[in-house]
Amino acid sequence: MPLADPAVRVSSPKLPHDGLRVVVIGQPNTGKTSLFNRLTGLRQRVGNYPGVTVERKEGRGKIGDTPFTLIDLPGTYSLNALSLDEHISVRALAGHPDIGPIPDVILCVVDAAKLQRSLLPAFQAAALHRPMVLALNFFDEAAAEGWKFDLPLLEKKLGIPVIPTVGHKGVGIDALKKAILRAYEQDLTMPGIRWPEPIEQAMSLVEQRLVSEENAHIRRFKAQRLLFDTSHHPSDLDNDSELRKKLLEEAHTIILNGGHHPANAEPVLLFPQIENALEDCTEKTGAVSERLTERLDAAFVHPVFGLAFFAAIMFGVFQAVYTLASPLMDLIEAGTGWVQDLVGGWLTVTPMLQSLVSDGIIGGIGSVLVFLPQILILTLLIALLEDCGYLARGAFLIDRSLSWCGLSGKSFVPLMSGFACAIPAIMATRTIEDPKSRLTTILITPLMSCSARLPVYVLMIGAFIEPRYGSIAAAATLFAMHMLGPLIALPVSWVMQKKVLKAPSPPFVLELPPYRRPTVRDTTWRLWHRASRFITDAGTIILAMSIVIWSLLYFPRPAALENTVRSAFVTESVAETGQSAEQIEAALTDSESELAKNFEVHLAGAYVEQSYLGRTGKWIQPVFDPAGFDWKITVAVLASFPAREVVISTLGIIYNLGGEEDEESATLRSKLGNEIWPGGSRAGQPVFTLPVAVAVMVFFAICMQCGATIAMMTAETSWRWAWGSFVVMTLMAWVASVGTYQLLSRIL
Amino acid sequence: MKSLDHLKSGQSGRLASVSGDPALAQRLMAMGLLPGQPLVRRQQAPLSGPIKIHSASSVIALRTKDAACVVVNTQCP
Repeated sequence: MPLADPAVRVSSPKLPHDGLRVVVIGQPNTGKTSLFNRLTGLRQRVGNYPGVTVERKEGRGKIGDTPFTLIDLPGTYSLNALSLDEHISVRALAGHPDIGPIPDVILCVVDAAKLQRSLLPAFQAAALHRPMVLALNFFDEAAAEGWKFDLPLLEKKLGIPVIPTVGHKGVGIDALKKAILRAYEQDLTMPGIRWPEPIEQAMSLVEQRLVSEENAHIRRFKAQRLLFDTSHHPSDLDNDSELRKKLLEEAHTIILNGGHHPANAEPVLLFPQIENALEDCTEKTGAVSERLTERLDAAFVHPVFGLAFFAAIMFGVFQAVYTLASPLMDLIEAGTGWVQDLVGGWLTVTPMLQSLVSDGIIGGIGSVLVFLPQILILTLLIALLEDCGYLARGAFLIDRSLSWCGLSGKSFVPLMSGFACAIPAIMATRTIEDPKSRLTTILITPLMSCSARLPVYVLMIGAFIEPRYGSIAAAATLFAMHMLGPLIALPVSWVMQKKVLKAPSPPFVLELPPYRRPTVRDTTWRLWHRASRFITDAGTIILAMSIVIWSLLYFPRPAALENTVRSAFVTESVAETGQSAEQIEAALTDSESELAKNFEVHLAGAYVEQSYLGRTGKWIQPVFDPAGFDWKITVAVLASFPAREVVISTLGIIYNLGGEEDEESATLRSKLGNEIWPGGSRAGQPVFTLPVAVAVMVFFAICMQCGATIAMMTAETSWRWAWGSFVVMTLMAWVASVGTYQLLSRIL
Repeated sequence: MKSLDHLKSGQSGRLASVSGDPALAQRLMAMGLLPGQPLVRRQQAPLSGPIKIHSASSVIALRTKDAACVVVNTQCP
């Protein structure tokens, strides 16, 4: 008798090396995410599938001693891949190099009260012959509606474990875990679907050609998908598209001749089988009372009250993002400043390192963190609105106003949030399922006038419009600046959707899910995911960019410059104050004196002028000359590319006022008003005229001067789209500001 | 037989057929709306926006353009 290796335990079948791979499929609104969160707890990872904007969510957990990896697939109404989400799900089920091997167990989540329709993906996946578990979620709601289930009979008919669950309350989680292990160990699979003869014949015809697939079940699953899917994503099944086309034509002819229609044969044939399986297992008792959902809908989608309520909700969301976030942002900015001073104090011996660490790195980290309050507040509010079912009603109400330019009602919330900040707004586009309209929404969101543009408007309006034309003109200008974005964005979106992406505007079927109470647990999860994704994905890019810009503003730093500036400053001060050069020099050595501080400011200005960025500003000024910008405005514009909010402090530095100026500053306003062209065709005239002030505002309103937005777009789409829209928006901003200046300076 | 966009609010019937883009029919079927299923037309969003319909297994909204492709048999409620 051979000696048994004691290390090899007799357990059937052998567990994969890194534990079980379990994928979760199910239709939208079946509570999949709650179940996923309950099954995995803290051990989650969120990312994107390679090359697409579909969210990839993975978590780990344990069933007794057995570790498992849970992969949450996007909600899929059907495995007939109409959307990119559904396409990803098909790939994950059949195994794909980009996604991972074939799952060990499939967990299918269904809404217990809508069992028939939500079983469709499970029946479509039956061909895979993989161990499967069915979670009858929202079991409590179904019971309250009068549904009764014979679970043992249902298990027997389907051949797989059927577990009643209430995901958001954590009911049935342990049973579900045990069922997953049981399904794996005992290889509990759904019986294969029996198709009518012509379909069988067509399917085996396709199957025979899928020679590269070794596993017979997966071959059958792929054949089934090839046969019934109307929108084929190439590259997937067969490399030779010509051959595939011919093969499918042949197969479809067999189906047509058999009296079925290839486009709808699958659901038409599967639903009777689902009904058959559910027969005697489910029973609905009690009268159908008008459900809460219908009563609430009567108010919420009412043409008058519904719209008024929608406007109020949106205004509330906008206000919350705008006002609730600002004290927190002030706190983060103050905290950043405090840490900068503290760490800077330790490094005074090495000025370059000091500046790198405190201005470049700590300042960069601060500029990442400062977005968190807005992201968290907007995410929280959208999560609550979405989870309670209201967001779909809002999309329903507003759809008509956006559908003409190729978007849907779902784009409204992100676009409106863009008026507070583009970063949380771009994250909010995740509620848009259609990838093309999602992409377009992301691309036009930065055109909405975010709160960081406000200081520029306030400065320019306060200095050049309000004093001369009064407060009504000032308010009108401010309003016009905010309308400029949507005015450009909607036609841009029309061009994008109809001409660039050529989105076919697929049939828009919006499901209005029942109203449900959001849970603290799932909402917290979502906040955590958004925050961590923002910090890891966009945060790193923002930090890198802020260090690059820091070095462009810091270098070169010729040692001789300080002496040149000092002697010029002393001469100037002698002339101004009448004191002797020695007295001035003495005052400069006392770093606390007014004079010394004034000198520091002058020196900072000189360094900026000398820096690579300053030189570039002077060199590039001719480009902005048609818009009436001098080199100082040009440097301010260039320095604002990573973050437009620095424009005011940059102007402060360039105009030798120090970096502490804000948009309400009277000194900065008068400084701007007194600035005179030193030479050229406009020599002696003031730089800041009304046309220039408006041109500057228009430039800032349209240009994407925000490294964080570029980083966010890169993370959510690709670097091509991000930098492409950066270039396009910069060009549009230039054209618009030149046009504004040329027009206004001719008519005024 | 009437197309869905011609139904009055509150009017009911059974789904007869879906024409136009096959994706529409597939999406409706995946949401449980197969031929023969009863449905009720409900509110329409402002400015001729989407039309809300109720069926046994779902509440969905369709744009008028798509609703015009959905034929409902109003004779057998």
